[in-house]
Amino acid sequence: MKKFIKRIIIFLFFPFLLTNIFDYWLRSQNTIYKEKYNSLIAAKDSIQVIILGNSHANYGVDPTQFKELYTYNLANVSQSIYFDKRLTINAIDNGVSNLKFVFISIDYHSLFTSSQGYRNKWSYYGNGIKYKNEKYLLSNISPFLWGYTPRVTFSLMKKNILHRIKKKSKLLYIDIEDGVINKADTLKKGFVALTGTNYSIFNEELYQNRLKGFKEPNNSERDSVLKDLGDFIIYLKNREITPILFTTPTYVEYNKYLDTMQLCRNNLDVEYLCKKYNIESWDYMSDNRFTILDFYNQDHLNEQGSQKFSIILSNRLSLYVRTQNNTYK
Amino acid sequence: MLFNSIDFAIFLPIVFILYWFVANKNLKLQNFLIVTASYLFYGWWDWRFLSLILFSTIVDFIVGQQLKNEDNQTKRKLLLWASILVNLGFLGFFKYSNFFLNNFITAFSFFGTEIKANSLNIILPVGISFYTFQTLSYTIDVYKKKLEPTKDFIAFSAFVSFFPQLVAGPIERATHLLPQFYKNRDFNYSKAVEGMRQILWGLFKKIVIADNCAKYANLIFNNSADYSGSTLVLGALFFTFQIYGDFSGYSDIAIGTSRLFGFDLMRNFNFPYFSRDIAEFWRRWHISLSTWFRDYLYIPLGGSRGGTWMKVRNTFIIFIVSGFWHGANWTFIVWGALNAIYFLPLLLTKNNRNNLDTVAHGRNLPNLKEFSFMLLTFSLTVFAWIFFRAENIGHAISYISGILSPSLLTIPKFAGMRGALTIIILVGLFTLVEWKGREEQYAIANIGLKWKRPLRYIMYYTIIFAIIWFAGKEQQFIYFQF
Repeated sequence: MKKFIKRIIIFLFFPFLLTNIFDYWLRSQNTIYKEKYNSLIAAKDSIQVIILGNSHANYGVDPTQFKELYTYNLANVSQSIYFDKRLTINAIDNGVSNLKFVFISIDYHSLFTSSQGYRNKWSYYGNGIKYKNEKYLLSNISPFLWGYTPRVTFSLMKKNILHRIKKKSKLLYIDIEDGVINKADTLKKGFVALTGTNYSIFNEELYQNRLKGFKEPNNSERDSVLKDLGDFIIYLKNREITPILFTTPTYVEYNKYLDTMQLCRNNLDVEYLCKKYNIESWDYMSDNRFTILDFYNQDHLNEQGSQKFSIILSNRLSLYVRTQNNTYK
Repeated sequence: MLFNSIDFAIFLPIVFILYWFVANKNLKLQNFLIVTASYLFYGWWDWRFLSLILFSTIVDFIVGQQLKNEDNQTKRKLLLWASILVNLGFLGFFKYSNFFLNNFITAFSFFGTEIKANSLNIILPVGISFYTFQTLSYTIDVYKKKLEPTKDFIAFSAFVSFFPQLVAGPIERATHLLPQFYKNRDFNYSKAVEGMRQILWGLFKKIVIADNCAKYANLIFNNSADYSGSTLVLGALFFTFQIYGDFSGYSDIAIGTSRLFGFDLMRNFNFPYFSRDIAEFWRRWHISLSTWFRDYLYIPLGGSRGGTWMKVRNTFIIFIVSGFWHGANWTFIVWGALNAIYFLPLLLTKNNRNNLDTVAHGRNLPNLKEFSFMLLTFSLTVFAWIFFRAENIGHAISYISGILSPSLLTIPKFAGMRGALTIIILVGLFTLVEWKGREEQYAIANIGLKWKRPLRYIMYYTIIFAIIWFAGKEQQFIYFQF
């Protein structure tokens, strides 16, 4: 028996040691979640506008184009309204005191799901926000095994090493999506742009495949998401912060494949929210000013598109401020 | 509690240490610990259903005692039927009541009478089909005087609820497992190491093979109308390896875990996909269930002793009941009937016991004839699995129609094909390892035994690394639902 236990301990020592080394490395890394949140807190006294949402807003709204109001992009890939709300509340609690406007991105697939999937844990490491009743004990014990998983860890390490070899500098932060798509690697007010247009993915089959993942499931969380969003709007309005719902442009050919029933439900819900809480919704989904050259893929704007869109958004916001007779500057 | 969960990874070492360090040398205490651990293991899922196991245990224990003291044949029969009715009554209620209710309504509406009834909201207790059959084997064997009834209630409770095989088998016979609870068990280093190796291989089969195949099998089966014939074939193949990896993986973990506690469980799988005919397949697939039906249903019905009609009848009964055991759905019944159809020609031409040895025994490769028969048997099995996996008969038929379309000759295509290619390569490598170890208890039983320790450890680390690398979301075992 002693021999068995001894052998088991010897056998487990090596993987245990390696796991600890990986955990130490992961914990010491600056991820996009940490970077975004920490930069936000660093600019807490200046921030007047926050952009929330998933990758559409993350890559679609360039805060540097907002000349009149200091804007920060707090959106992130797959970020749901559930996390939008908690991140904003957290930011306000931590001293973001001049906030006047919060842009909440409502997309084709925003209103029926609250989870970010495996990103729930990755974002938790960066900003500490937990998802509902999800347990984080194991993820805290070992980010390598139960957080990022070995596959993601090795991909992050590879990225880090390649960056050091190619650019002879340390990575500022790790973006878990980096490498999948082309983009600049420096965050400006929380924003990073996608570069160019990936023409190979503009085709009917890929539109349909992509939309399969955005179909409202039978166990839709629509009611609870809407309630959460409603509470969030009330929270903001109570603090004299104006919430604005908005939708980023998506490619016109891709829009033809969207499910009309799902779109109709979304529109009705947005209309209901606007009426109930007396707020505005700025929908640019089918805006014909955006051509294929403005998109990286069917539903994400590229550098050029985000610049164009952000100017439109910024101008409209300035007009809105003036017509509301506000003097927020 | 799932074998592939962190809960079990904590539970197992604790029970192991208590068993060998605290309860060591005390048989009663060890058995009591097994009962406690088993009830905890089961109650982790839903503690309310522990009462079912306890009730079944008490009934069969009392029936066993009564059978011992009873010589009157009529009363003995009554006792046996009491046990059968209680056990199958629970099984019937929890597993089949909605099926019968819905079919009853459908049958009446077919004749023009509308009956309004709602389906019952019944939760199926995990593993009920397994422990029900295990306890029944005890009563039947005691009734047939093949087994002396036990006086030790704790040992009997441990036999019924033994956690490694409680929820998904192997379905043990009382004659084999129960006596092991009476004997003193000493820790055996080789047996424990052997157990660990088998657990490791079982986890590999479940996490790397089954769970990854499941991703693609589910994708293709759930959207079968969107895919080409060739993709549907690939979907059926993914399911074929999913169900094998899942169930045989579970059995390996169960057998390995039992070894850690000094028990030997019966073998449940013997490389079934290398079978040369369907009869051989059924001697190698879910052995504990096939032999259960053989001993407690097929032989009492007359087996293959009678005339042709009797043979045909009994074969259909055993296969259809076996299908129905898996679930209350016509798909399982058709799956069973299909296997009966495959099996009958072999039985009627007395060729059902042709392949009793291992294929290509003592050789590296099969000859052309063996390979052709293996391929044919495998294809028939894959075809039958379509019914097993389909949501309903209509789905199975449309799936098969989809396969038999001109698109069968195109290249398979679906979202995530690149990821699927990695899994196809893995399944290929896995099949090679299984082929190499086909004469052993489990594929890696003999691999690395004579290697130097560091090399052997590298092999284990590689398997562990693959398990961690390919692990996705924790998946429940398919057979839990049965």
